[in-house]
Amino acid sequence: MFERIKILTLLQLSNKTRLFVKGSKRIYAHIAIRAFIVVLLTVIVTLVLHVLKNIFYIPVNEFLMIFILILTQGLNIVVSTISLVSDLYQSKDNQILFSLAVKNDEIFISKILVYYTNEFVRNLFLLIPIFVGFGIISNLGFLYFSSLVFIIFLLPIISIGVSSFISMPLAYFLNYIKKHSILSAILSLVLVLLLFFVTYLVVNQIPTPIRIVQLYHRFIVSLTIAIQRIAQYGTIYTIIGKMLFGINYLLNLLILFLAVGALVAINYLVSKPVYFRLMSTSQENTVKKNKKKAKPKESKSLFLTFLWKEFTIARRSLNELLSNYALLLTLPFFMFVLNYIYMGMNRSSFGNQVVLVMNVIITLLIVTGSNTASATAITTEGYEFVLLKTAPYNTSKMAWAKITFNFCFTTLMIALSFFLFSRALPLFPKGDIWLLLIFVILVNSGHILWSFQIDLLDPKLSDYASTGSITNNNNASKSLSNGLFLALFFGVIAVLGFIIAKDVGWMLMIGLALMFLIYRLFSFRAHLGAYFDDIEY
Amino acid sequence: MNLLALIAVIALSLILFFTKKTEYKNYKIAKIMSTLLFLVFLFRLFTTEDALNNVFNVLLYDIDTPRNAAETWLFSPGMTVIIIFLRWLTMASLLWLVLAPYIKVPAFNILGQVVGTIVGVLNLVFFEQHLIAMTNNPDMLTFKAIQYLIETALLLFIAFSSFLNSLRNKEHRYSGKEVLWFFLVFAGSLFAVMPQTMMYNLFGYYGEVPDEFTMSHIFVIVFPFALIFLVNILMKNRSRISKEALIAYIVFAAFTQYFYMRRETLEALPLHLCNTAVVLLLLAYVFKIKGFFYFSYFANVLGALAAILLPNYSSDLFSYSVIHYGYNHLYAFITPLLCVSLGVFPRPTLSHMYRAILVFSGYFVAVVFLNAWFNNYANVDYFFTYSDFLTDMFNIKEIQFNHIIEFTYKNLTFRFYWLFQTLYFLVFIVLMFASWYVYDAFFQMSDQRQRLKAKQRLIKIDKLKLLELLDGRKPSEPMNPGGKDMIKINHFSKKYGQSERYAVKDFSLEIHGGEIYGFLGHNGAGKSTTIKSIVGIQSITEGEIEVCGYSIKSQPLEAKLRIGYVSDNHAVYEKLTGREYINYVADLYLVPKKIRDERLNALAIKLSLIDVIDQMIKSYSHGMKQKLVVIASLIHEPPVWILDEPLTGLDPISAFQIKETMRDHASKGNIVFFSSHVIEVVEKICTKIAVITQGQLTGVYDINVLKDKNISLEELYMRGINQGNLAVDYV
Repeated sequence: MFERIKILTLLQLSNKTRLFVKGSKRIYAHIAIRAFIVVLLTVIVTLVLHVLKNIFYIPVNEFLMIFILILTQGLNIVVSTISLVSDLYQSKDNQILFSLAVKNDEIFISKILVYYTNEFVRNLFLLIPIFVGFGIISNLGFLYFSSLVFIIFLLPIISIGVSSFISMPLAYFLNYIKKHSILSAILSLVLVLLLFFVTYLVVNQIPTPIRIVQLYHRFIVSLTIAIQRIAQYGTIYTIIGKMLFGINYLLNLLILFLAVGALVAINYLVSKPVYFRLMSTSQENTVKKNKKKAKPKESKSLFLTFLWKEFTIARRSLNELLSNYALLLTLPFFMFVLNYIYMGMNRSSFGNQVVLVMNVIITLLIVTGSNTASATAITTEGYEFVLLKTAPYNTSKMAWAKITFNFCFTTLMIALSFFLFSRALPLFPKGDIWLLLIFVILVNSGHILWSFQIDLLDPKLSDYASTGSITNNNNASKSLSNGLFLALFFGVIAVLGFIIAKDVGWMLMIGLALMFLIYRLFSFRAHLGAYFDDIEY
Repeated sequence: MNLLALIAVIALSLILFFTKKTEYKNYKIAKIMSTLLFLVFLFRLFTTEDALNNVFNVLLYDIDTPRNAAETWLFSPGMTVIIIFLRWLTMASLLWLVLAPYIKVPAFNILGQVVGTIVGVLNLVFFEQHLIAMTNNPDMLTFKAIQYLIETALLLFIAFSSFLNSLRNKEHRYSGKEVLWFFLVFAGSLFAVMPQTMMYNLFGYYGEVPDEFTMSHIFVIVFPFALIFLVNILMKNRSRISKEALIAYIVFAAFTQYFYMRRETLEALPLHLCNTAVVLLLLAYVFKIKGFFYFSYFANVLGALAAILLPNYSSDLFSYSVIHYGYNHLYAFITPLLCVSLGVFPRPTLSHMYRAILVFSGYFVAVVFLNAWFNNYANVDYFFTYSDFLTDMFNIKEIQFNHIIEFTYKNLTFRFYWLFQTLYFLVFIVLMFASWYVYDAFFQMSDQRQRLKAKQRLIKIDKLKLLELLDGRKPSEPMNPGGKDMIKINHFSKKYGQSERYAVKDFSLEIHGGEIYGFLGHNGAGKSTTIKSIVGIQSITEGEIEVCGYSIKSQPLEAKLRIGYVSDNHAVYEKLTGREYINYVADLYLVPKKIRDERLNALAIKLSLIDVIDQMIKSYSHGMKQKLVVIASLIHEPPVWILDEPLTGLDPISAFQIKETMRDHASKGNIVFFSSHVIEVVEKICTKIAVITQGQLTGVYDINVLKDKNISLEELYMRGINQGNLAVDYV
């Protein structure tokens, strides 16, 4: 059994990483760079903790550590749950692994081990800096640092154990709603609206005017109390925090080991009967038969043909559409929460300008982050792109159709966000809201063209055709970095425009955004004309 | 005496000219003379205090100043203006003449000769005024006077003798475009060496302090970027030597501009980051020292940008300090960038950056130590590592003044602000890394633009070629009218990407109307590659493919209009219904509504798909999808029907239906060309067969001939595979 688990684990690991190439000098360079990053992060965290303790006067003690552990590991559990649902139940390699002469639970264990290995390496960048930083700032001794050695190994086990346990009912739920796509779309939308409403209620509880500077002492005291209160409910993380700070060391250590053991055992026992069933249901596709006879009309132009296709497919893949634009759905939340806080503060006219600058940066970050669909627009045609290659007309019009679709959808979402925002926060100057809307739409349109151009120049058609996934797609990453760059660039321009040259602020911003859009439009047109015919499957 | 010198120089030049012994410009002595001129000039630069620098507002432009302008004047306003402009032109001529023997560009030669001669003569004419400005003494027999006389005479001699030499060789014949270019070089050179006190001399205090993002500050920020852009546009099509000349002029101008005034005190040593740049760039250019250059590229550019954005002066725009600061940082900023964008230095690699970081580390340690040492004697603050200029700006003075290491050695106190200095160093290193990514992004943009231009040129050339081949016929007419009912593959070869290996090599075949042509080959033989190139999915490396007389390479749309294609991977949009998908394809091929409906119904009935045609494709089986693709490929009734492994994975009924459809299509006089691994199927339905082995056509057979000769295709095929080649016979 153990031998089979070992083989399965190594098989999956070697498929996911190239570090096992024998005699490769790159391994050592890779390790050295990572070690350097860990050291750098440790220095940064230590400095931050030093600032918290000595400048902001926030106590750096076991409660803060527990609080940070709850935050980071909580987030880790959420991310791991999502990843494990995909890795354990929906991964394409299941078809290979389940055909091998191994037991189902061995596959389950091997997959968890693979995930643990990756998670452990990822966690090193987070846990070592935090723990070492705490140790230095709080002057903790040998026991603390020696305990870290096994805590760093145990923490990922806890988060993965919890995630893997949650992933089982979650996979069942996802399998259920997959068969009812309308239900899932409605659920997603209801969830979004509900979240917005809850956010609205919660944020409205914040007393205004917000005066952090004047009431700094009171603020710090209440923050410290809140941290302590939250730390009490940290369950296993409370135990870890107290143990590391030497409180009931042996007892807490025993509880920790027992808890980890129990978590592992529960996962194993529960997964044994249900894993295969959940996995096989996740791989099945059932489609309801359509009894209606659709009578498609002859299209008047190729562009309309492509546009119709985009709308039809999007209409029938609401879940994918929503997941593509999930970040955009968060736009009203961010705008509302941040501006509520800004509006709640006593601001000078300078403060008002800073608020605008922050809005520009945050809105652009979110909006451009949602354009990965454009950066994979050709890629996601996959093998179907062959049809366009064999068609006897200028099929580059499909690019314009896709762009039009993405433009219409994102513009609608952005406009809706701004409308909600203007209704939820009547204090914010209306003129600024609508000018910001125009500005964001212009930059977003330019960014859509830019992202599409990236995919046009290097579409990953074969990759997508073989995997059906755009995870780790370079073009999407490039689109995100371009979005980040645009947010920062226009942030700097906003500082110039709103703080220094106030009279021409909006003119400068909208003028530059328009120039950017026009440049991207011409550039895209030129690249489309030159390279579309060269795309090969 | 100046008159004597003038006569002597002219006489010497004329003697050289008339004795015709040699051509001046080919003399090694030209280089020696110009180097000598530069050294003499440097000697004056470092030893002379020019009183002209203190002349204030001779044009009385800003008369409301607290200063009495007239008190500072050395001469009448008219004379002052003449002397200032003479100095300006002299500086420009001196650099043209110094550089001309080393970098042979016509602009330097002609400008140096003509302008140099004129200013040389005028300098001798106004020699007394120059002397008064430099020494406050019109006496001709002082050391300074003789020194300046030598410099002026040398300049005049080089310019005039070179001018005479060019006259003899009839070199002064230039086109209007070249003359225009000389004017541009003239204007640019003048800007590069503008006397830094000139604006102050002429206009006095003028303009606001260009900081805190006022309009003049924004101009100062935008100007270097605009200049780089403009220079790149002007220089992009110039020769390599012209680019070298531009950079040479800039690095020399930067050096002379930095030492415009005498710099003797410890504070004035060129140890500030951007001050260091002017010296390092000169050395890097002259001696091709890459370490120095890339230090400037990664550190100085960054430092200069920071200085331009957050300047530390407090005088008005036309003051000497602001203009000196502006020139210094302008050069530190633009020179390294121009060097790389014009290709004078290669684009940096990561190792160049690491080397730059190493040089920067050495520089940083040196300035930290020198600051600690020199502050015992004067207030020095090289690279702002000692004063509170930066910590005050960012409001982090505690970091600087709460963390100090101090020790005394032989009555000298050495103070180090260790935390501030360490953080400063680290931040700069991080910024250097960040600048690498910015540079890289610009390089990628530039490369992409170049590639786009090249591609657009290629497309234009292809269009012209096509028109030439069509010989006056319309582009919608076949290139080969004789090949109307056939596929003609002529010496076709295909390589993938950068691979050296041919996937298909020198493949030639003709397929005629009414034939069902089977295409046999082992896995990876090149069947799909050939088919994908015929239908225009993949490019053709060599050779030509014609479909119904149309070249798939140069007339792809016309050719594709005549092709129906069934791919080896029945990829369809699964979220559409069968009818929607067919309709989508029919739209692509512009099939009228009525005809498409008739064809769809007929084919759907024939292939037993009519009951599911309105279901979403997602629910189709493999065979159903394949049949749907068959319908889609026939919806426009193409004269050429190409199928890639059409029968793989089909049940007997589906396979039979598709085979029947193939026969029907061929019986109408159309071409059916399909690939397969299955010899029995091919043998059964084909009229002809082509065999491909390891990318090469190894056999073409007529099935009827094989049957007549009682030869088994399977045996023939296996024999051919084993032997590596089959004879192209039995046709």
